[in-house]
Amino acid sequence: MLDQIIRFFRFGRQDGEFELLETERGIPEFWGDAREEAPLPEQEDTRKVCKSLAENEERLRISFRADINPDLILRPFTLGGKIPAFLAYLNGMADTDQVSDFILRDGMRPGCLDHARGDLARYTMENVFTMGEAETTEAWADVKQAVMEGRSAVFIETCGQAVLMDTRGFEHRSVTEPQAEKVVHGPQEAFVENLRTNITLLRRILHTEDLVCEMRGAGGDNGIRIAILYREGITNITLVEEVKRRLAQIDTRTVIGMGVLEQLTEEHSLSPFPQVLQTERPDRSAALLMQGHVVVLLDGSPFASVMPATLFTLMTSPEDVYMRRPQGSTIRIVRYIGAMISILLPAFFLALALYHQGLLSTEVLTTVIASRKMVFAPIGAEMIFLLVVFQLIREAGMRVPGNIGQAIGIIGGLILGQAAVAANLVSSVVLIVVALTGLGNFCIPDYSTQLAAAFFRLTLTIAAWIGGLLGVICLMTVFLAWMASLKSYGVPFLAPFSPKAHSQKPMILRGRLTMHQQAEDIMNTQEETL
Amino acid sequence: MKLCQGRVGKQEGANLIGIALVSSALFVLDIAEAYQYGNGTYVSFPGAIFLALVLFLLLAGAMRASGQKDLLALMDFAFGKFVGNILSALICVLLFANAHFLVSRFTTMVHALVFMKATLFPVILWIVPVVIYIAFHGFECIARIAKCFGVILGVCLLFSLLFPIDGYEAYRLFPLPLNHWDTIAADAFTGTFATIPAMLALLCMAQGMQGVQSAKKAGVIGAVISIGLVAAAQIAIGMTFTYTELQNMFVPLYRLNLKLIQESYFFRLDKMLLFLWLIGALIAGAYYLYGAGFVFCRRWSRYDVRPAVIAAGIILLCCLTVEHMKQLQAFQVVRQYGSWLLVIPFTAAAAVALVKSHFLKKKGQTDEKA
Repeated sequence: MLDQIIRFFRFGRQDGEFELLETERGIPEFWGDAREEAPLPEQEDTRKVCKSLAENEERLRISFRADINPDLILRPFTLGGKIPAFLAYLNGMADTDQVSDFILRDGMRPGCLDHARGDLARYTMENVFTMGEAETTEAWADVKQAVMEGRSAVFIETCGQAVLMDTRGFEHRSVTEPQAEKVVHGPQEAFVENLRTNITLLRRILHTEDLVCEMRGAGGDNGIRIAILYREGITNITLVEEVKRRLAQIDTRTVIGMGVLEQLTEEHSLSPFPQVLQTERPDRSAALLMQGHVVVLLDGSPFASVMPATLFTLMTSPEDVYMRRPQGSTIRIVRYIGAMISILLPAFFLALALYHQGLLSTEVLTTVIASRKMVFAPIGAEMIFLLVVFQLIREAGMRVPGNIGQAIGIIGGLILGQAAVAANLVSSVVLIVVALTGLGNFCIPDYSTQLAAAFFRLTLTIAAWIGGLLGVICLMTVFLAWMASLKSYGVPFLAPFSPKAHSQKPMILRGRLTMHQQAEDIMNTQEETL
Repeated sequence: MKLCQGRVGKQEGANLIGIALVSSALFVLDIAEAYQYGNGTYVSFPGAIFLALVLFLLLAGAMRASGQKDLLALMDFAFGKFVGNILSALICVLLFANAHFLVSRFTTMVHALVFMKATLFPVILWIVPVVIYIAFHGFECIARIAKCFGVILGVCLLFSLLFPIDGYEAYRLFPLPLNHWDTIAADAFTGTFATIPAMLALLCMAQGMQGVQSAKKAGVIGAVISIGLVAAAQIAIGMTFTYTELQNMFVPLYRLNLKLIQESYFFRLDKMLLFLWLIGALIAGAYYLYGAGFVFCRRWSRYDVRPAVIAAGIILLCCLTVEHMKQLQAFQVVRQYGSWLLVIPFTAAAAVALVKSHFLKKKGQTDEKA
């Protein structure tokens, strides 16, 4: 016991205690130099497929650590009853039925090589294996990549090429309803984690021959794939090149999820506002693709990144076009009012109640004073406390499973609020203001923009507490200056309003559907614009 | 060079000029002296903008005739590099002075009308960093914010003039300035120190405005709207208060807004409107500050405009602080002689450039014939 206490105060360690920070490279400098000492990315494997079957097998065993990794399946067989060969695939990633029926059964059929001559790999691909998507390759890196993706590779003795066949058949979630972008009218399907399914969902909506889907690695060491979709000949080629350039510059260990990809490619990483639109709806992505935007899909992510994105794109819901113009326009007006309330109401209320009481009428002022009669906290602290509690309830509601999440909302919103007012912890007027703010916040259709609004709301409230209306106005102008200087893939964030672009389409009200035939001017598409 | 000019359209340019001119004319020129000869400010204030517009058109015409891309190039063309440098320095100083006038006026207003119990320095510390921040982002950003707020500010100004319409009495406009046209003309001329720099800055940044023609159009639209708004505001003020009252009044427009008392959820709107005008002042102040930094960098080939803008902003902060301590009188010289310093050399520059380009064209034609 005494030893432990002494060791505790001497910051000592027990013998053999695991210490992850002890690296072989010694003690880090005071001003970290991790950047210089970070390990260099692995050199690209330039080897070719070996003619020796044993050598190829050995290479695969080493690459995939087959001695401790049972996922790699190496299945030897005799091709056509004559030539030794083996099949490599990852268990769970490849569809074993396809492997058995169309590779092993066809490959082992006697006499299938009777007429073989010349390039054996190509002959087997064309005459033996009955697979839809197949290719031959000499590059060893391609073989490794293919096996990791769930494809199967067949190696043949004395042949310097491998046959790669698409046998991907891993388990994935089926197409379900959108979770974050629900609509009453309109399609009820959302993207899933499977890249191929997501591309199919888009292609099912867009029957245009100019829709191009370029596949490439996402840039992380985990080798995940992305798809870049755009309309060849319509989408501005500079925009496409810029998207590709930014994707090619990604230098990180892992790319998991669209959020990581978004952060790695955006220009202003400190901006509270998102610079790309993340949507889980294929119909929304398809509509923007038709407008000349670029869509990026990531394997394993149920979201599409649409770039560029302006404020008006982020404030648009896919449902707007499914409704008639008056309804769509009304909902949009309500949405913008909701967003304004969400961002400005707490700050303005606080500024007026704290610094500029003369602006309020006697009735309003009396109500505020009466409701705060027994509340001990200053009104600024009370407001910020309630705003934080609101975020707390929202976050808690989102992280727990469905029905419990709703229950948390009810408990937090009604019972907690009621109890807090009864206990004189908060005043009813401030509670109403925060509740209105919360409702306004949910009017914003994009989740990232909701979070940006929460950031603005909190900072404006703090500014109002410190400087009254002066603080609110100054900070609001700073935020607007930031938005005015922000660009998303070269397109100004406030376009087409500021700067004005050739656009007959109203920005807040919903335009005629015939206007949607042409792309927007801000996209600088290669076709006629509005 | 990173001059952060960007590409600014006509609407953004017109809004920017409108905000800058209306802010300067309504809040920098409305000192007590303006009302000492009777009630003629509804002529003299718009007149100051009109004179600035005439000079602007003259210079734009000269630039077009001589094929110069911006005002700084025109000055070189007209007088040579040395005099061009001196005139550039003059523009730089006058733009900075206008930023100072506007920000100083608004800090005083906010302090005197809202935060009278605080000292002036915290108010300065709220306002000046915002001006620097906007200016730091460059011309494109300033013009875009101007576009966002231009119409809102214009409509709010008109509404604030319409609401107290019950209190307007035409007799308060008497004595009509029939016998004081010379004084009014002199006032209009003196007022150009606050209106010409905004127009000149636009010509200096003509490349950012995508050419002289585009800058000219934006400038004309902005100036014409400003003349209308300023005239309307001054007539409204004149019909609400007599000129003897106005002589002792601090910020007449604010006093006019104080009449907007009605029993509703918002009891008074004066402070709300004051802070709306403050947004205009922040934009206009940033425009002047950026203009000063831009002219300095463009002329003396500094690589990046942003350090110049920050430096100008810090000087502005120091000037405001020193002025508050009643130590700074230098800016009064600009008020008194600024209009002469602007009108004479730039009119001369336009005339010389026109004549020179005319002779060069003639010479070119003669050479072609030869």
